[in-house]
Amino acid sequence: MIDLDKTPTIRADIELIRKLQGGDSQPVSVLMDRYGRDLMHYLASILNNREKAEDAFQETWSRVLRSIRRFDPNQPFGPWLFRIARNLAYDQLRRERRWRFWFGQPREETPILEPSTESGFDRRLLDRDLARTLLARLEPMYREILWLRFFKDKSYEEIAEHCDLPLGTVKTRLRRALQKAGELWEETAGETDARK
Amino acid sequence: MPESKIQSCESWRRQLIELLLESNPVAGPLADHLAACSSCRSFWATLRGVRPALAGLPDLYTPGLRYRTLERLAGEAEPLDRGFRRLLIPVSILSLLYWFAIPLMLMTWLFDYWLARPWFSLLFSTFLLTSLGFLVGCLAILALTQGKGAEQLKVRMKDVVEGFHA
Repeated sequence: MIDLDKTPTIRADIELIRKLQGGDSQPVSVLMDRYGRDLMHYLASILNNREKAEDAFQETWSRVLRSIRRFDPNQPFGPWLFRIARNLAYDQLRRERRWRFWFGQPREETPILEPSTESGFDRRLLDRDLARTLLARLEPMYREILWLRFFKDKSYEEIAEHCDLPLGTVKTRLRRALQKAGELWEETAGETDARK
Repeated sequence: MPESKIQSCESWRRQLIELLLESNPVAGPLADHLAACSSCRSFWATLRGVRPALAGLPDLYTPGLRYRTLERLAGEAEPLDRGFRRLLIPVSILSLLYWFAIPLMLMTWLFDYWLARPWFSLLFSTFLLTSLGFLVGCLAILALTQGKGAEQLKVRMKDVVEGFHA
């Protein structure tokens, strides 16, 4: 999964985790600096909301500290950390679904994935903006898998391990994510045509 | 747009998705179609925009978030006072003795005559059970609220925050 290939990082993680398990708390800030950027990026790609991603981020580290003694330091830390984060993010989404079911109107949200405010007529920027709009409208599980494949350049096998899915399901989900993006693109193109 | 063209565009787009999945370049008849069809060109450009769109997510790991997270962790890791933890078990046992055994013995000794009467026995056992329930409830609440901190006793997050301030 995340950073599995970076062996020196894993070695450094082992030392830090052993210290953490031994009662020295300093390593947590080092680990946070090492994984924080990717972790927030990942949570943001699933939750598409800054506040929710920050909540999940804090809860992830809290869970890490609570369970660090049960963690085997010879296992890579990154996949474990991201699995905790993933579970928390999906728990959060389930809670929201329940909220919507009972109370209807969702709470006010400020999405992260929205068209940029950069000015100027640049074809690439327009394509990126449209892609952002499509991503924002995709289901979180599709955004997640696209993030792993196209941003982190993970192989199908790594994605399967990360998401705990069979390899075939990963391929199907990725294909479905792009097909869904294509369908949304057609809808958006239709809306644009209708406005003209 | 004629129906045959729409159908054909759909099949080209399926191929484009496969290409994107495998990170293969566009070539051959597909490239010819893209050169001729502006709609498919736009579709392709948008799908290729997914990668930069994801890469363009802002960096959300800010010093503020780092600080807030460490502070929260420090707050959660407030350990129980060691002395208090050492006392917790004997105090619980003594409380049980006090609330249950000692009164039972005393009452039996003092009210031997009265305990033979059903109404007194009923009242007395109700009092004992209520007291015991209250005590067990208090201990359970204490264990639930303090257990979390005790589990993290060695993770002294306060040091981290102090280190951060320094």
